[in-house]
Amino acid sequence: MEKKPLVSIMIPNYNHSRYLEECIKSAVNQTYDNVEIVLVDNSSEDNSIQLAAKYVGNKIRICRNGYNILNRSYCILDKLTTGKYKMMLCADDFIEPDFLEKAVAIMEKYPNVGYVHGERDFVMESGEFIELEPFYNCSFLASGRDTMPVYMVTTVAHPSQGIFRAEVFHKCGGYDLEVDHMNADRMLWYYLSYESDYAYIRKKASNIRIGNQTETFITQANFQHPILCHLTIKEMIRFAKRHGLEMVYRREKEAFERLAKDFLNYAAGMLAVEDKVCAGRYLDYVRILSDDIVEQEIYQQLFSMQQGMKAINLEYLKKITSSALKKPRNYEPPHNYQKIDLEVL
Amino acid sequence: MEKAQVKVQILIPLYNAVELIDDTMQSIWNQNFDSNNIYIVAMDFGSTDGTYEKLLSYDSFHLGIYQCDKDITPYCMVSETAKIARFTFPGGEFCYYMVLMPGDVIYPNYLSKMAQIMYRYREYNVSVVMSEVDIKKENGSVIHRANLYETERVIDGKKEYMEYVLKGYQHNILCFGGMLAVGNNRTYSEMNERIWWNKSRIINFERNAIYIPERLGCIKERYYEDELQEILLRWESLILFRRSYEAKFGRKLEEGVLVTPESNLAYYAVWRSFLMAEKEKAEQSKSCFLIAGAIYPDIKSAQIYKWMEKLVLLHDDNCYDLIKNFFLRDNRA
Repeated sequence: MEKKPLVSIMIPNYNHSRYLEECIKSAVNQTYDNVEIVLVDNSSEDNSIQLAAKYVGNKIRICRNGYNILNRSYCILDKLTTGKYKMMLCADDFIEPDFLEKAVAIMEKYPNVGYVHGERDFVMESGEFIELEPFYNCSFLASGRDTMPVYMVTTVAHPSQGIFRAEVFHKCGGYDLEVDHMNADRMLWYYLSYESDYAYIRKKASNIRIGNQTETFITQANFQHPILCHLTIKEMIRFAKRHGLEMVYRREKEAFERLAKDFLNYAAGMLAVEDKVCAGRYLDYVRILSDDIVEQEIYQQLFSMQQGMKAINLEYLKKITSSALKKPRNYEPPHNYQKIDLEVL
Repeated sequence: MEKAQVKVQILIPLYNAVELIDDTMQSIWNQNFDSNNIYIVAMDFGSTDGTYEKLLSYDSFHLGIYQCDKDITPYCMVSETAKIARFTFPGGEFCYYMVLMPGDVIYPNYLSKMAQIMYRYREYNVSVVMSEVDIKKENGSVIHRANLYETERVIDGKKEYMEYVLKGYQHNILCFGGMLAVGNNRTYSEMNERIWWNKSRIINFERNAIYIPERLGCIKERYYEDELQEILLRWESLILFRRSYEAKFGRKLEEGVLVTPESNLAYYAVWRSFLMAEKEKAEQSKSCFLIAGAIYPDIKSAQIYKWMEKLVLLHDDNCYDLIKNFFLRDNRA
């Protein structure tokens, strides 16, 4: 019997000691056994390394950068791993035990598939789970090109929800891509889709941590995140126009409208923690993305609160931010899809 | 020994620049500097106007020519050229590189001056030499902007990393020296202005820059296909800069009293908005104007912002001349 192909789980870490053990355990406890796990720590100030060191064995390698190089660690992780399949697992997330097994089975059976997504739940800082409806309404295969437009208008999957074929990943340029690594997940799926096909598993694969201490919240507050979202859409459109992908670039307006909605959600989040200055900046920025946003009810409510004309209404703000999490889902897959039955893999 | 043998690699990324390339190349060949020590790396990114053919027509001595087919954005072009230039680095103790965009020229004494400076400051771990430039406007006239400083000086990487960012937002400089490190492509924009404080972050605030008050070259006035994108990239650089500073020094970057990098960038955005309005690019003008308020909310109380608000959002050009004069203040003929 042929040896099973190697899967690399790449874990970049900075000061996530609170969640790191759960992450590592989920990687070590995969039902798929030919796995290499590499952790690259960015010189954390907490006891991340000590916690991780408990798991050193034949599957996991612990590395540390001499100083915090931020997301250049992703490049190092890529260089230190040699798997046929790879995934980026964020240090505060954790994955389900059978994710690798299922994803590899699909990619071994269908050599044109370049990457696989699984589903997710969110986990709050309290440990409480937020279950979401799955994004698509069935497990399926689809051509990458048909999938590309979706990435322009929404976030389908976080890095911890995807496993990709190393060969296709490197063909796309790996982590040398034009877009910053923070949004490399969104661009990465987009570029992979240009080069290969896509598979989706309608079963929970990952648990994604959300809350005030995560990278996402920090970068929402310092504006790195919205800038990257905006630049990402611009790049996707430029790429699509260059390659004649009309199906993608015709959704330009829609993409910006949706981003505008996201920015309003961030503004609401900032108002909820009393950061009126940051909220104001989002409300300014959003006017670039959408011509009529200032006439929308939500914008006007948030604007009044931000300007102090109305009292901050926490309930209203909570409604906005939580509705972002519970968007309608269960979408029909991109056309020309082929259903797959996970039982017969 | 009074002088060292200094070698220079000049990187020129090219895309559809057949009208502009000649001035640049001639200015390199007119240098009052040993041509044996000049190496050109010209990289064409799929031009359709005969740029590559024009390159082939030149005398080939020390002229490296490459054609790249990669799907590349302007921001990647410098980085891609640098990736190749690393392999043709002539080597030696005093070997440097610089980037010239097509249409930019260096005056005949540029390289010999750079050689002098590098030798004079060889104990200072110099990462880049910045010099003033003339700017050639679209209508052919040549202007320059007020100098950053009065005299030649060392800018200490450990302390004065913010210096350049805090000075004129309209300013342009020529950079020489640099390093051929290649990283996240977006770090290396074509703009010399960002080199010093971008690199400050990448070299971990460890090295020095030298400033020369003389105008040693002439660059074409810059316009971007997507002005907003350039602003967003500069803003992102600033954020990363602050994060790197915190990571290195363990504390937040000290806030300026009157001028912060963000206020400077916001003024830059308002200036670009005006330039776009002059060119009747209404969409771009509006975007650049609105982003200024997001970058630095306090700019909304500035006079120039209020004038521009009338012009850009209300299409009222009563303040047009006031605005125009505001942005011309720093220009010198």
